[in-house]
Amino acid sequence: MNKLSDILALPKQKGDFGIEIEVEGRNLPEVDTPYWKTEPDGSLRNGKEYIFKRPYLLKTVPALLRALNKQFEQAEAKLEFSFRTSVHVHMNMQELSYHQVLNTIYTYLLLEAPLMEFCGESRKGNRFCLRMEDAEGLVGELQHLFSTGEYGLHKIGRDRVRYASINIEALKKYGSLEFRALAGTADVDRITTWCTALSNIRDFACTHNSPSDIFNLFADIEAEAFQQLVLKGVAPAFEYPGMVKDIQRSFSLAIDLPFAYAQSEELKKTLKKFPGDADLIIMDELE
Amino acid sequence: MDNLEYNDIFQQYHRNLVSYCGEIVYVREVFENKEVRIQYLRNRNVATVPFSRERFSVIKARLGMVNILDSVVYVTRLPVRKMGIGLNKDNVRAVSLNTPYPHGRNDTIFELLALTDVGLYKTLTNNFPTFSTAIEATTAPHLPTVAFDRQFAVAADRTIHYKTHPVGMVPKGKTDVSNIVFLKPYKHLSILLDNNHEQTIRHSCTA
Repeated sequence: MNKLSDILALPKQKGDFGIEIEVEGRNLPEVDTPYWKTEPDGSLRNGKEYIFKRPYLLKTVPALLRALNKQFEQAEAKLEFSFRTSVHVHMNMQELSYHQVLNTIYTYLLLEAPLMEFCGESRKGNRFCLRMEDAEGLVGELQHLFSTGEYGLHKIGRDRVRYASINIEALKKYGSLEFRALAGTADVDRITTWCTALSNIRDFACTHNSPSDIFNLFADIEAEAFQQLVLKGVAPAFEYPGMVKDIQRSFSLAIDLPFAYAQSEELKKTLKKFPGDADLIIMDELE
Repeated sequence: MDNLEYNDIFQQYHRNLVSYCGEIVYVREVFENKEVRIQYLRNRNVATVPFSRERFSVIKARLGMVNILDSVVYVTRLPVRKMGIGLNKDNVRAVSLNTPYPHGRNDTIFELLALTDVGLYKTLTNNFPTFSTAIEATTAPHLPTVAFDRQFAVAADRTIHYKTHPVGMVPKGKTDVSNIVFLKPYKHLSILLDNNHEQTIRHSCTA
């Protein structure tokens, strides 16, 4: 099994999550500790961005967030989380295989509606973190990734899908998936719940062979049961009336992905079996 | 809630399709006194109203197949960085199908990208003709194509199109979605129509 870091020849990084918190307000401190750094952000008004210096394990995230909040307290900072602010979370995917990366993306998309519901009303339709239903062009781009094998990872285009709620461009750059949806906050519980949900999605993805398997599982069980199976202990934080219908719509929107994957796998198997007839087989598929 | 300066309003809203008090509108002009000339997509009426962030917001609705000028264009938004907050020419992709375009393929796309057609309004509000009505409409002499779902359309030759691909046929005399015969690689698409995951509002008048 080739790992993403090997496929893309990325410098290896340990840890689960990188976190970027955008904040506006007064008396915002210049934090520079072994864990956090501060950067200016032109898109904010009187704002700063607080960033992990490197990825950290999920279990250390709450302590690191508490440490940042302490810095805010000491500086007597008045935090404001306007519509311009957000929390971007990078989840490390370097140790995962191509199939596991696809599984993670597909599972996230199936559950995108409840995940976005958690992130805040102002994030729906927001041009900096568009959902699959806001920007279906994302599915077209993903179809390419799902149908071209590991090679497709090298071909992820720049600035074509970056402003989706799940940014796959970060795969090529850092070996991570970037989740851009969470509205601005420094709340320890809220950010930890969000990271736990994403981590559970990744864990779930690693226990399945392919997006087709996940499609079949989803088709066999109720949407609510699927949500609980994937999100485990944090599932209740992502429940709301109308969730089932919304997940079913996501299933409809993302249906091309497992089939793009399955058809390309089928074609690969056939080509392996009859290597001399490659042209005929491809023509037959096109017809 | 903090409000925006004229330049910000112009940059983010001018020539964008947005929601104004829950109605889908196209922002035609932004004036320096922060008034905005809007055109309602539903009926093409024009009004000038004061700008406020509370009243103007993004459209939380999906695109897809658009019935326009007796044909169909498949429209999606791309998750790219552009300054406009709504739908606009820079973030919308309109793709024609492999079907006849009675008013010309380019002219139809051009009309769509003006972003003021009522067909676009119907797609955004998920309002499509029933399958039987769509089939009946395709029998007109100018060979129209008609979308009956955000993702599906039927052409005059009874070919079924899913997004931008022909994926099956409906036999002559049949008018129910269950009668659609999908090509082998697209058989799974029947799930989408059987379960109406899109929760489409069907109407039986012509598109």
